[in-house]
Amino acid sequence: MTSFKFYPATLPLIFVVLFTIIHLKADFRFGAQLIKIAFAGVAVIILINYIYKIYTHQLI
Amino acid sequence: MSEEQETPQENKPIDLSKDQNPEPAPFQPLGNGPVTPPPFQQPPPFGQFGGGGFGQQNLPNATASLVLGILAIPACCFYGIFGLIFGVIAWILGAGDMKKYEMNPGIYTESSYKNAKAGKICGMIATILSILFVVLIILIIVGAVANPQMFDNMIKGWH
Repeated sequence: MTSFKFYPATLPLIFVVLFTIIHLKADFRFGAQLIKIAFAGVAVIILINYIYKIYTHQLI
Repeated sequence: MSEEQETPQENKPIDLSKDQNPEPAPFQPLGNGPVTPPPFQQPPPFGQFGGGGFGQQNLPNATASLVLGILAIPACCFYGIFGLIFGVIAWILGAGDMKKYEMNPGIYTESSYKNAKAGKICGMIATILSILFVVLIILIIVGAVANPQMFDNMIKGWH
């Protein structure tokens, strides 16, 4: 929870990295599609976090 | 001399008998002829429909572009420069592999094509985010140079 408050994209990013490693080893059928969607989700979280922190002056 | 001539004649039937051994071979092509040659000649057309699998290879840079595209996001934390580099490399590698697959769809596996596509998209997203990050850092530096006192107050406000 501390990491989520500090940087909300941490846990999804760790999930994406782990899933990518598993996908490269096991080669799931919809692995690439899922990685794309999860990556886009992480990017959206990062952007929202950015805008939120800029508005609330919590740059760090 | 006649014996010498006969001996090669005797050898000839032996050779014929050797040739006769594969006589069943003409029967095999009759029965399996239409079936056996096509698998060796037609893997590319089958590969186009996503079937097959043997004889196909992975795209050379698909895995690299996917890994680099995903690593580009954590690399954004290093002032965005490493994220920009990784993202652009992943984008270029993924786009190059997609072109290779479109030139010869039968040679490469479809899963590696999907990986290359995912790597390209991840690289694009990471590049855009990294550019935003670099622009933000440049703005902060410019603001700090222009108004040092305000920047000092902002840093004091953080801690």
